[in-house]
Amino acid sequence: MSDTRQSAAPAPEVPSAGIVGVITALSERRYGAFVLPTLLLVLMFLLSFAIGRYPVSPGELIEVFIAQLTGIAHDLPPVVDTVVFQIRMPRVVAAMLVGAALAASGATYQGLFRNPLVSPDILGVSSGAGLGAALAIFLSLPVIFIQGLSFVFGLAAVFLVYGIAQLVRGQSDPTLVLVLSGVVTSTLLMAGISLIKYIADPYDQLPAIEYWLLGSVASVKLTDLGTVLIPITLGLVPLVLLRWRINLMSLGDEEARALGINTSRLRILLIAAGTAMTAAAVSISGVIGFVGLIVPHMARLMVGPNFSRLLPATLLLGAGYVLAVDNVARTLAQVEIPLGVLNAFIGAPVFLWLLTRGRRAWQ
Amino acid sequence: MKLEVRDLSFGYPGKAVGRGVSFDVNPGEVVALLGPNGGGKTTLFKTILGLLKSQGGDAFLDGKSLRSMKRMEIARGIGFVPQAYAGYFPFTVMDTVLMGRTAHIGMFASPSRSDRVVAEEMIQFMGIWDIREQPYTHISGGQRQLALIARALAQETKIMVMDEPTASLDFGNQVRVLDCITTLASRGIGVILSTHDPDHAFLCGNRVVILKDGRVARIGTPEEVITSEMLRHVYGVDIEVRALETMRNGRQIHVCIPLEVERHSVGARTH
Repeated sequence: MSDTRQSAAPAPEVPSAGIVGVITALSERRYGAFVLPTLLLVLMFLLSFAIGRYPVSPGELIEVFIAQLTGIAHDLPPVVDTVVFQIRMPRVVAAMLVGAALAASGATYQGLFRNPLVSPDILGVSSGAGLGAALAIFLSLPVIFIQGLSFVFGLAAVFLVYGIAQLVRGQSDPTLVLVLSGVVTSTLLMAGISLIKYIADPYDQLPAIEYWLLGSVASVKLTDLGTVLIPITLGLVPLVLLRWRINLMSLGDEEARALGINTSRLRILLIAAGTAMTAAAVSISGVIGFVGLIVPHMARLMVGPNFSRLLPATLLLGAGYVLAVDNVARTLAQVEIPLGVLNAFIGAPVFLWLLTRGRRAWQ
Repeated sequence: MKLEVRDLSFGYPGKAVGRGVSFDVNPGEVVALLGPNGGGKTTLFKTILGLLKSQGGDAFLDGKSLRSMKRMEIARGIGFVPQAYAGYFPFTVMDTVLMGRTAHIGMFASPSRSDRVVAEEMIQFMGIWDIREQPYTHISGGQRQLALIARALAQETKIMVMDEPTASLDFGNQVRVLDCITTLASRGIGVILSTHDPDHAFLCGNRVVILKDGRVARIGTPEEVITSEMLRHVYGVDIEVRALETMRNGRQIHVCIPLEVERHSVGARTH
C-alpha cells in the first residue's frame, strides 16, 4: 500500500512556534471542553472554604496559603489557620480524591465491560470494603484498622470474584461471567454485613457501622489522605499509561485481540487499577454510590468516549462533583447529612436527566 | 507474505466444528470461502486469527507457525474485518480507524502523527473522508463496514481476513466493497473472505474454498468449483450457472440463477 501513502498523505505540517503554536495546538486538540470542568472545580474549591459556620473569603484563603508557603506571618486571626488547614482542608481534599478516584475507575470499568451502566463496585469492591469496616467496628478495632480492613476486604472481594470467573468461564464471554460472579459475591458479602449488624452492640457498634455504610468524609484526617494517596496513585498510573489501549477493550474481547491486544493481561491490570482506587476511596469515605456511574456519563457528553480525553475529564468532574455534594451535605441543614445519602438524592435525578437528555453518550 | 493453512482442526472447547482443512492464501490473491450456515466459516477465521486455539494442524504466516506468535505479531501479519456491528461508545470514525494501528503502537503509547497519516490515508482510500469526524454509532451499516475495512487496512498487513464483508450492505455498497477487495489484491495483499453469494466469488475470487460440515468440499477457480452440481450438493437447491458476456466490454462472467424461485404473473391466477 506504499504507493497510496505518497499520493494521499497530507503535506507535512510546519510546527508553528511560540504562543500561537500553543494556542493552535490547544484548539486543534479541542482542549476547550476541559475549560468548564476545570473552572467548576476551582470555583467549588474556593467555595468550600467560604461556606460553613466560619466563612473564609477567597482573599483570606489566598493570604493564609501564601503565609503557609512562604512562612511569612499574616495578620488574620489564628482561627482562620485552624479552620482552613485543620478542619476544612482534609475534608475538601478527601472529597476531591474520593470523587476523582471513583469517577476514574467508573470510566475504566464502563469501557472494560462495554456497558455505560456499570459502576466501579460491580465486582464487589464496595460490599467487600463494607464487610471489612463492619468487622473492624464489631471487633472494636482502632480507626486505622477500619480503613485497613475495608481496603483489604475490598481488594479481596474483587480477587475472589476474578478467581471464580476464571474457574467457571468456559467458552462464554469473559466479562459476562465476571459481572455475574460479582453480583453473586456481592450478595454474599452483604449477607455478611447484615449478620454482623445483627449481632453487633445496638447502642454503640450498630450506629457506627450504619454511619460508615452511609458514607462521609467528615472525619477524615490529613494523615489518612497520605495513606490513601498511595493506592490511588498506583491505580491511576496504569490508567494514564494505558489510556489508548483501554479504548480497544470496549470493542469486545475478540476484536481487541485481533487488533493485537493481550486482553486477559490488560483486563486484569485494569481491574486491579480500578479496584485499588475504589477500595482506597471507599476505605476513607464509606460507600458513596452513583459517582462512578454518572460522572463518566457527564464527562463522555463533554469530551467524547476517547479515554485519553475521558480520563482527565472524569478526574476533574468527579472531584468537583463530590466536593459540591459534600458542601451541600454540611451546610444544607443544622445537622450534617451523610454524604452517601445526599449523593443518592442528588445523583438519581441527575442520572435520570442524563438518561433522557444524553442518550447519545452511548448510542 | 503467504498464509498456509495445514490440516487445521478447529472448534470451541469441547465441540469440534471442522477438521483437516488445508489451503493457501498467496499474495495478491482473493480466496472466497463459500458454504452453508453453520459450515464453520467464522470458526475457521477465528482459528486462523488465533482467537480460538487450533484443535490440530496449524496455520503458517510466511512459514512461521501461528501457534508460536504473539497477539501483536499476528495483528501485524493478518488484518481482520468483522461483520459490521452497532458499536457501544460513540468513537469517531477517525478514532475507530486509528485503533487499527494498535499493533504498531507501543504498550504505553498513543497514536502518533504518522499513525494519523496512515489512518487518514485509509479513510480517503475507502471514500469515507467526509464522515471521519462522525461517531461510528451514528453512521449507516454500509459506512460502518467501510470504516471497519479502513481500520483493517490501517493495520498494514499483507493478509486480510474478511467475515462476510458484503452482508447487510445495499447493492451499491456491495459493489464498492467488492471493487475495493480486488484493488487490495492488485496491490499484493492476500485476501480471504467468506460470502453467501456465489456471484461475489465469481466477481472477485481467484480461488474458491467450499466448506461444508467443517470440511473442505472443493478448492479451485470459481469457474471450476461453482457448478450446478456443487451448489446442489452444498446448499440443496437447484441453481443454473451461466457464462455470459457483458454488453459493454464483452467481459466473460458467470452468474448463478436459482431455478426454484418462479415468479407468478399477476392476474393469471385461476381458481
